[in-house]
Amino acid sequence: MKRVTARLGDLGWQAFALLTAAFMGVPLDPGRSVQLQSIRTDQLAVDRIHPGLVPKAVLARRLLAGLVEQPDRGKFSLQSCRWQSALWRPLVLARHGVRRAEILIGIISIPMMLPALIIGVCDDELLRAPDSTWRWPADRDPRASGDRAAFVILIVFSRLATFDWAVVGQRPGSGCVPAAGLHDRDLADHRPTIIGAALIALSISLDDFVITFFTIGAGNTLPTPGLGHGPHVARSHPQRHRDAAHSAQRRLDLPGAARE
Amino acid sequence: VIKRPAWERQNWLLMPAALIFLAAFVAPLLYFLMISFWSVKARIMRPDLTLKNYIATWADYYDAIGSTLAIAFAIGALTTLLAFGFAYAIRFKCGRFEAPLLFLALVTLFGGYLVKIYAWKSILGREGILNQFLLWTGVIGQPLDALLYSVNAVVITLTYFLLPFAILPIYGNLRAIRPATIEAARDLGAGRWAVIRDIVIPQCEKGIVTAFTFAFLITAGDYVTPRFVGGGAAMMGHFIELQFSLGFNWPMGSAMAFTVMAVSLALVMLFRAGLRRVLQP
Repeated sequence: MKRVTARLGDLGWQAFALLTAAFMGVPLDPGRSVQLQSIRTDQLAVDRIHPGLVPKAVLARRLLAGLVEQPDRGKFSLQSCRWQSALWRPLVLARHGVRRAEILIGIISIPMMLPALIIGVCDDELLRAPDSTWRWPADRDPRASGDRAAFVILIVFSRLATFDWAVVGQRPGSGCVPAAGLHDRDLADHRPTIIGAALIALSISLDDFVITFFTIGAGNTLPTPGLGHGPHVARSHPQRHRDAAHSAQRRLDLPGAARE
Repeated sequence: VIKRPAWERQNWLLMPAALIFLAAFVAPLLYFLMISFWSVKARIMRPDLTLKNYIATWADYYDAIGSTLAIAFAIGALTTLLAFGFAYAIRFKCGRFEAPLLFLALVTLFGGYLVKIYAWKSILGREGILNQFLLWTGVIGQPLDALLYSVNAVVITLTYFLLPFAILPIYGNLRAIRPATIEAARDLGAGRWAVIRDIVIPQCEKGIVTAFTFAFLITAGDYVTPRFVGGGAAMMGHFIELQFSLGFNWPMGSAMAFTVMAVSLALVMLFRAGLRRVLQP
C-alpha cells in the first residue's frame, strides 16, 4: 500500500513537470508560423545579412520561433553583445573574501533587478549630446551593457565560487608564468562556463526590446520594427501615433481600472 | 594560506567592470534622481528642488501602484511555485527525462520576448487556438473574450516569459542536494512533505529568493506585455512610459520610476526576510 502511494506521488510530480513543460512548449509549436503571420515578416527584411556572419544556431532559433521564414532575411545587431569586459570581472570577484565578494556581487547585480525601462531611458538621456543631433557612433550602440554584464558575472562567479585556488598556488612552482597560467589553465577550465554565459548575454541582447527601443537611433534590430519605429513602416507612423495617443488618453481616464 | 602572485592580488581587473557600471548605470541613474526633483513649466524642464512630483505620484497613481504590485506579486508567487515544482520534479522524480525537460526550459529562453507575446496573443485571442479548441470540443458555446486583453493574459504571458529564469536558479540549487540526503531523511521516518519542507526548501532558499526577485521586479517594471495583451490593465511601467513619450514630463516620470523602484525593492526585502523567518527551524 505504501509503495502504491509513493508511486502515485511520483506520478503526480511527473505529471506536474509534463504540464509545466507543455505550458512552456506550446508557443514553440512548429505550426506556429501560420499563426504568427500577423507579424508580417516581410517588414523585417530591413537589409540582407551575410549568412556566413550569423551563427547557424541563431538562425535555427529564429526559424524555430517562426519569426523569419528565410534564414537570410532580417537583421541582427550583434553589437549588442558586450560580454568581453564582463568576462574579467568574476575572476577578480572570486579572489575577494566571501563577504566582500557578496557585497560586490550585490552592487553589480542591481541593474539586473531594475526595470529595463528605467535603464533604457537613463542611458538614452545621458549619452545624448545637448543639441540632441549627435548620436552615439554608428547610431545604434547598445549602452546598457551593465544589465547584460550582470548576468554573465553571476553565472561565471557561481562557477568560480567553488574553485580551488590551491591550483593557482602550485603554478609558480611548476614554472608557469602568470599570463600563460591565465590563458592555459584558468580560461581552459572555465571556457564552457564563460561561453555559456556569453551566449546568454548574446541571446538576451538579440531579443531585447525595451532598452533598444529607447536608445536606438537610425536602423532597427529585429524586435523594434513592430512598433512602427523603422523606415518600412514610416508611412503609417502618424496614424499609429494617433492611435497610441488615443488609447493612452483612454487609459489615463481610468488609472485604476483592472480591465476594460 | 596560499600566497598568490602580486599581480593577481591587485584589483585592476575590476576596472572595466567599474567603468561600465559607473558610466552606463550609476551616472544616468543619479542624473534621473536629480531630475525627479525638477519641475516642468511650458513643457520645458527647469532645475528646481521640489517634492511635488513625488507627491503627485502618490496622489494620482496610488491605485495604479497598488494594482501593479499586486499583479507583480501574483506573477512572482505563481512563477516561483511552478518553477520550484518543475525543478523538483525533473531533479528527483523524472529519471532519464531530466535532461530533455531541462533542455526544453532552456530552449524557451531563446525565444524572443516579442515573439512570445505574439504567440500568446495568437493563442488567447477571440479567433485563437484556445477558443477554437474549446468551441470544437463543445465546452463553450461562443468564443471567450476575457482571455485576451485582460489581467489574465498579462499573468499568463509574463509567467510563461519568466518561468525559465525562475527554473534555472532553483534547479541549480537542487543539483547540490544529494539524493542520499533525502533517502537518509526518509529512512529516519520523515514523510514526503516533511522532506520537502525541512530539507529541500531550506537548501534551495537562495534559488527561490532569486527566482521570486526576478519575476517580481521584472513584472513591476514591465510595460510591453501589458500594452500588447493587457487591455486596460493599469501597470505603472505603462504610465511611466507615457510621461516620457507623450507627456513630455520627465521629472514626473523619474519620480514615478523611483517610487516604484523603492516600493518594489522594499517588498522584495520583506519577502526575503519573511521567507528566512518561515524557514527557520
